[in-house]
Amino acid sequence: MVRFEAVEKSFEGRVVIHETTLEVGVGERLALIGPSGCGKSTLLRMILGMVKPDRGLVRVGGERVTDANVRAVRRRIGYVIQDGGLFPHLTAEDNVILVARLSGLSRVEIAARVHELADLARLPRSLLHRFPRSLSGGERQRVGLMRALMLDPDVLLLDEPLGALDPIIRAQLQEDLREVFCALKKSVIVVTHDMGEAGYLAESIAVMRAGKVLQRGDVRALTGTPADPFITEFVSAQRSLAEAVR
Amino acid sequence: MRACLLAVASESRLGRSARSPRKRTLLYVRRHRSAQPTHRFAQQAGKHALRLPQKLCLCMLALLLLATASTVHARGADQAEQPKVRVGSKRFVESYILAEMVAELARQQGMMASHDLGLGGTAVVFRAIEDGEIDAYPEYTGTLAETIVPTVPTVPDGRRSSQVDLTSLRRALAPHGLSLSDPIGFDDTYALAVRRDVATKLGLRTVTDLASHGELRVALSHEFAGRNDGWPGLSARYGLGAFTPRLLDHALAYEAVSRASADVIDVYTTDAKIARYNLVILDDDRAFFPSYSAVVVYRTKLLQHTPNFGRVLDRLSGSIDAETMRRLNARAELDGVAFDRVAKDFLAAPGSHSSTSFSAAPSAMPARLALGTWAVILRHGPRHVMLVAISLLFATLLGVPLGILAHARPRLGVALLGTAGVVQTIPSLALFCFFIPAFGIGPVPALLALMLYGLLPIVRNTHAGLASIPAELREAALALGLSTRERLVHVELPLASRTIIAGIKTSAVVAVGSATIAAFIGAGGFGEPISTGLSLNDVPTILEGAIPAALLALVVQGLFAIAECVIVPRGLREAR
Repeated sequence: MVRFEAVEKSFEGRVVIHETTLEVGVGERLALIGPSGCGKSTLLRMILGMVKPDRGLVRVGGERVTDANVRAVRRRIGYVIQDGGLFPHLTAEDNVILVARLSGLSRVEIAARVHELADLARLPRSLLHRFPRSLSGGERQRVGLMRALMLDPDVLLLDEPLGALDPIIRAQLQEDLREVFCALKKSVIVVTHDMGEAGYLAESIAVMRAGKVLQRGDVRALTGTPADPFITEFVSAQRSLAEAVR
Repeated sequence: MRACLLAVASESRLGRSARSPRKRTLLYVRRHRSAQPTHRFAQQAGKHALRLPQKLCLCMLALLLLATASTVHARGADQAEQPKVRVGSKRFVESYILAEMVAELARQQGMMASHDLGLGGTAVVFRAIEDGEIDAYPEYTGTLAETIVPTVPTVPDGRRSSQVDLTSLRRALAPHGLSLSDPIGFDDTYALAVRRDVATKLGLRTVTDLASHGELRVALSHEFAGRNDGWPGLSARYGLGAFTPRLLDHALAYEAVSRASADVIDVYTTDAKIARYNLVILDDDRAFFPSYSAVVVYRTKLLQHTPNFGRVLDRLSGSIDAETMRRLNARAELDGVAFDRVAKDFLAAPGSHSSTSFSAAPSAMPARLALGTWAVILRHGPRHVMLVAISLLFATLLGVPLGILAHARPRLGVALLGTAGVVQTIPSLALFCFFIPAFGIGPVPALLALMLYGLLPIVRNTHAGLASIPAELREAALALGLSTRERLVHVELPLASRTIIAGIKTSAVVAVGSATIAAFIGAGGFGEPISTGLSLNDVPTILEGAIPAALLALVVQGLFAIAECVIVPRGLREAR
């Protein structure tokens, strides 16, 4: 569904993505993980055409992302960022339906879809008329998810979606997200730096460092057969509760 | 600033414009029921302009077209059957009275006469007559010789050192399509005046007599003290080196001399206050001062098409001497009689109208002020609001897109903001005057100048508002697949709206202030009483214009508070 073919990217002479080839199949869920500045968000933004690779190309649904089709591609992708990225001047509902409204969907269709999504994202309908600033962080994130799903995209991209939330809400949302992913069977790429979250939300994990994907596999493969000492280091840096008690 | 205002407000009737304050301009028109608040072209342009808010999509181009159209329209109007005469005047009492006389005499000859009151200074009025916007106006030979047709030689003769030769003047004016009447009869030139008691005690009659009394205190206006044909030349001619003149504002000179803190001042020979303050004019016995003989300048075609106008000129010729003119000035300026009344009374019975109340000092100021302020609001308010509203509308229509452009193209943005900044530094009066050559006088150049002034805050705030949108929101809009226009309309402009409205508000408040200066180029508004008050050094009259302007600024603030509630999205408003 999403395919990077030998993409490379430099900013001001510094290589941020070394030659990378990576594919996410239809309905597949991939987590990109790695330390800050390793290039995971850059890869995500390449899919949206907001960063153009210097070399190589990005395909979404088999179609190469170009300047000409980038807007159409974006409408087939749902994008959720930290804290939801909601527009403060619009109510929760207006945030959700903005693109649908501009795409000419009928009111009835839109209303039905909003209710469906509110249920899916477990957002109380009474909150739909609030402005973002009077929603909690978790609620904002649920609205952000609804907005991303409004046009029923093929691909869902999440850039550290739960980074700003406290642990309880975060755990709740992780559960709810996983439910949504499984229910909708969309291709998902989620960027996170939490190994547990990555393993919980995605089937496979790609560990990145300094613009390179070091290894891709499930949690078991990463812990059992690490391809690089950094992976061992990165995995072991995620302390468990058991460790803390000891 | 005030000096600047004074300079133009009080362009001297001798045409020595904008060099120094002249103090005897109009009494405020409120008292003169027949006085038109603005000239006809202004009103016409105003009518057009008032329809503009309904056509929000019209931009600058439309304004320019409008300017042209209204002028063309105005010019088209003189094709009518009944002979029409449009008389202009400069911005001081004497000019008003003489213009009223010309208009009244023309009416008596069966013409349709109108008086475009106080068009501006010499340059403005002369341009108006050249362009055919007016047909006639009162002028002074010295002014014509000095400022309009400086090629005319001044011939030294026995009486006057620089007697202006009428024939040469007429020859010089002919290529402009203009002619000159015979002299009206009085000279309005510089003179020295002394208090009557001093003159009597010392037996002063002439400037020569003065020379031997070096102990007398001389107080001069800045202009007179600096001009070669003023004190320096006079002093050389008469040997007045013993005097050490004090310089002071001309409006204060009469006060100074009446309170005996000065003995000798410079005056114009037809100043109304000469009689009021009981001064004696010293005879220029060595013929130093140039001649400023009052005449009527008219379009040569007017006389060809309307021979009756000749009778108007004949009737005026030689009919008013300096003493009479002083009395007429005093009636209007000091007694507050309407200009047209003064003119009609004189024409009905020349010589029978002596001024009655020279002793009447300005009294009951607060009452007069309150009444005057209301009258000013009613009379000038609509025009002032129109000036502010229309210029603000166009400043917004132009400024917001420019701000968007400046944000979208950062390099261009630097140039745009820089240019708008430079425009802002041009003194407002200069900016107003800048458009006069292209658009004449009246509201059109005023609107243009006000619009340019209003641009900077709007462009800058639009730019700043857009630049302050957080990157993640920008990105969120982009990732949603919105087009550039959709992002702008649905995300960026609403997010920047608070800042943009603040810019428009600043612009509006500035426009309310700047529009008061528009009066100096004949655009009307609250600036009229302000300019009048400045030129008369009459604080209550200044306040009559300044108070409504300040009130309007407050109203504008209030309106914008309401507008913010309507325009700024609720989600942003409650956030702060």
